[in-house]
Amino acid sequence: MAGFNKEELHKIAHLSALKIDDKESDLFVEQIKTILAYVDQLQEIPMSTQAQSVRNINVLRDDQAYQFDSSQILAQAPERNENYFVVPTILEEK
Amino acid sequence: MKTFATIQELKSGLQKKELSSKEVLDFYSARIAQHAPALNCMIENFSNPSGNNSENNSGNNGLLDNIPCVIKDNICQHNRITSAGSKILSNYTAPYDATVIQRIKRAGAVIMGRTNQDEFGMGGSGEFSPYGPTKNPWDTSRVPGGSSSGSAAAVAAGLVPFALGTETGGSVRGPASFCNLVGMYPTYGLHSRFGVIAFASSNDQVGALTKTVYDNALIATALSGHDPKDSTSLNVPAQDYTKNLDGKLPENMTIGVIKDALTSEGIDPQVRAAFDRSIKQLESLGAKIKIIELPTLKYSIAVYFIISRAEAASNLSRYDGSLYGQRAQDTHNLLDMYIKTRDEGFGIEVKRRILVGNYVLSAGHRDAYYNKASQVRAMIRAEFENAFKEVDLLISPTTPTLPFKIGELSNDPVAMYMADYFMANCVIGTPAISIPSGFSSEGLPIGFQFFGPRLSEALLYKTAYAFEQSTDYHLKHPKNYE
Repeated sequence: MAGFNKEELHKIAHLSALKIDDKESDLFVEQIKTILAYVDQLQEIPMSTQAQSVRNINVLRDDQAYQFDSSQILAQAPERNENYFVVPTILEEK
Repeated sequence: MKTFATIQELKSGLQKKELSSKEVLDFYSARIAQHAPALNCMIENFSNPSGNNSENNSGNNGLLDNIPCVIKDNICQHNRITSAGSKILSNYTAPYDATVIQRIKRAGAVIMGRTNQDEFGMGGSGEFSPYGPTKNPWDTSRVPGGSSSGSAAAVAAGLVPFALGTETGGSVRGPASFCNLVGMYPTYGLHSRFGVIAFASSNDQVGALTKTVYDNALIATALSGHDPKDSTSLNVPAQDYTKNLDGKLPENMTIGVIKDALTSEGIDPQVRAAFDRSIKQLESLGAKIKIIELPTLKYSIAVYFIISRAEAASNLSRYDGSLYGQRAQDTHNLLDMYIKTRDEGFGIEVKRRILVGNYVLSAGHRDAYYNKASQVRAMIRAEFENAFKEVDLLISPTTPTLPFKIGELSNDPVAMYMADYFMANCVIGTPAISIPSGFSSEGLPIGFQFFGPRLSEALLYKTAYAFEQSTDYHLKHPKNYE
């Protein structure tokens, strides 16, 4: 936590697909440091051995195809070509 | 028409034909048109309300026949824009109704619009909305609480008799407390989340904002029942939560006062004084009072922070401009499109939470933060379970402070988050109900809450109703809206 700095911020921003401009980055570093310092209090708690996490159970349904009208879903596409979603270039030529 | 009528009163008027459905609809349409703009509580007023069942009565169980309502913007309504209060979804039209919407429509409710909120539910004040802050009808210079800010303000100002909100860590009960309303966070899984836009999936639940306990129990009755479309929906039968509301506490009831509510320094003296009066009131109704220590409670905000930010970072990764929602223009490759779309679409609080979330989940930090928080979460759960072996319900103030001024805390995230001190039950998925419990010297509402064990909603409603009926706080309304 003590190590949280601009470099760390930009690394996390990249992982998050977010852009942080220089103006924002000082404020974000300070605020996130404060938040991390606050949550660091959990480190002081001795762990009880009895407290078990809740076990989640997968809920499955039958593997059956069903029909639905896809036109309304496709209509939401920012850009489309017939039944395809169109996005910008993924692999650029070198 | 009576301003501030409850659902119960409207139902009775409609059934006795003292009121017509058109009269009711016209009255509330006019109320919304008159007051919603200044309160900034609505993102959209529907010119043609949904769910009016006059033409199609099939399957209607009549619970909410012709009762108008408004819906938080993160609950999908078929063929309506559903944006979760975010620019990134400002053009998203929901292709289906959320299960809770289907259920209130089936009950006959009429949906008048969608309400303002903190973006994706991320805020405790209603200030983190690209549509601007919602104002509290009790004092328009103050916040109504968040994130279900518009839903609470609309009901408090008498623009509709009820609204749906959602809560992840106080987002129904906080606004209920700041606006003199009743708000329930139900047992996790009691109400379906199908069609509810996710913030932190292991905490998110739908809850109603109403003027009275009876009305709240009525909405819970309409919403409850298993939903196979939500894999976390509990397989418990629907039940009528209004049926045991007789104005009496259960016999030999013991109520536990959470010790932090009496000792914590952050509690406003007027909130504390109202809480002390509520304890006396419960004693006079026959409850035995016991002080209960929950030593791990003070860590619940930190646990909530970590878990909710981690889940938010994961849930919000889907908003990238590919399939729906807004997409940034003039981008030269896919990653550039993701980044520009998210930069333009998300507000500052949402970005802050995604950053913290991905940090606590990232390599080298996961054990120290997320895994540790999960372990402490289990300790908090065990502590509450032990407490409920000694007492039937627990109580605390809902929020430690009075409604604060708009802008007062918006640049101090940690101070703002402290308002969630008594929302610890969200991290363990047990229910709590906030109800009115008095006013400050300047006339601002103060609430307090009952916590119960899993699936104790019937007991919570019964107890809250008995308290409410012995007081008159719920009969008071903000001036300027009569």
